[in-house]
Amino acid sequence: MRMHRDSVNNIDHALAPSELIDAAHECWNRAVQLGEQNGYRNAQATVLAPTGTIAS
Amino acid sequence: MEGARGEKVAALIASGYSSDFNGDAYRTVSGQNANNSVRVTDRFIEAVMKDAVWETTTRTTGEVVERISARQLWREMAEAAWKCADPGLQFDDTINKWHTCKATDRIYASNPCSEFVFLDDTACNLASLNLLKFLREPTALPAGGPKAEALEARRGDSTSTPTKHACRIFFLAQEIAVDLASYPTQRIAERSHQFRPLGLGYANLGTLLMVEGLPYDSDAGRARAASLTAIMTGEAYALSRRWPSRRDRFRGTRSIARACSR
Repeated sequence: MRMHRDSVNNIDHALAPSELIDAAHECWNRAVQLGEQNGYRNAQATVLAPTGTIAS
Repeated sequence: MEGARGEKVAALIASGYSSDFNGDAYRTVSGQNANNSVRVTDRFIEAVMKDAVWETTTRTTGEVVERISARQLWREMAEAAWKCADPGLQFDDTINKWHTCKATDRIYASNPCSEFVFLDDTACNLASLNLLKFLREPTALPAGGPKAEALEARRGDSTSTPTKHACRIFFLAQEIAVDLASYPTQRIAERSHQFRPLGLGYANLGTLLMVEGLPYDSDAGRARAASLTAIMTGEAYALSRRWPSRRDRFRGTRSIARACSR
């Protein structure tokens, strides 16, 4: 989880809105900190399905 | 569809069969209800970069079957994918490096579309948020076509990102659905309850980038996608730990919890 959090550092501030990058740091810090205390209920959280496979 | 079959379809169409996707040319060719992917290792990619020889081996004994140019094999896979969209590629070392449950087992496979990449005999339900629904500004472009300045002005104030609140609501709904879903086998049911994998995600990234005036294949486009993906996943995991009692966490062992924190 720390590896996933640390990879937010790889987003270039010159290329994306700062408010988004700050928001990403904030929730990942919270996720890791809380997880270290109590573990996670879900072992995996997000996926990106090809848009064409998703019924609208 | 695999290359040889794709070529057979092309030959049938050339000889007068309908090229309609539901026509006879496609109907007579088997194997179209499947996706085929190739798992490649870092070692293979390095061989491609160095233009080295690659050895194929038998699955059972590891005996060398063929020695071929890695770069040629790579080229053949790329051309086949260009012609007929198969094979897909999966990067085995990368997948297992970012795996959250290394202590349980490695990741061997995925679902056919490859978005769910997790332990054997697990399943997850999907929910995709449409990014365009989160645009703050109206999406209509200026009359007379998009002007560069208008797009530039828009870029700053229309950052469309699913709100953290929306991520939490959908993630919670999916969490509840784990216990309401039915699963194809008992083992998949057991492990899906044990690990409770979820598949929150988004759709319409390409449209979002176009609306925001960001080229699809650009560093800015990728940075935009990385930011919103990070927010969605970070918020989901933050909520995942929020369910109160200790017994509610996914029932992995201590070693799983340790591996997870890595």
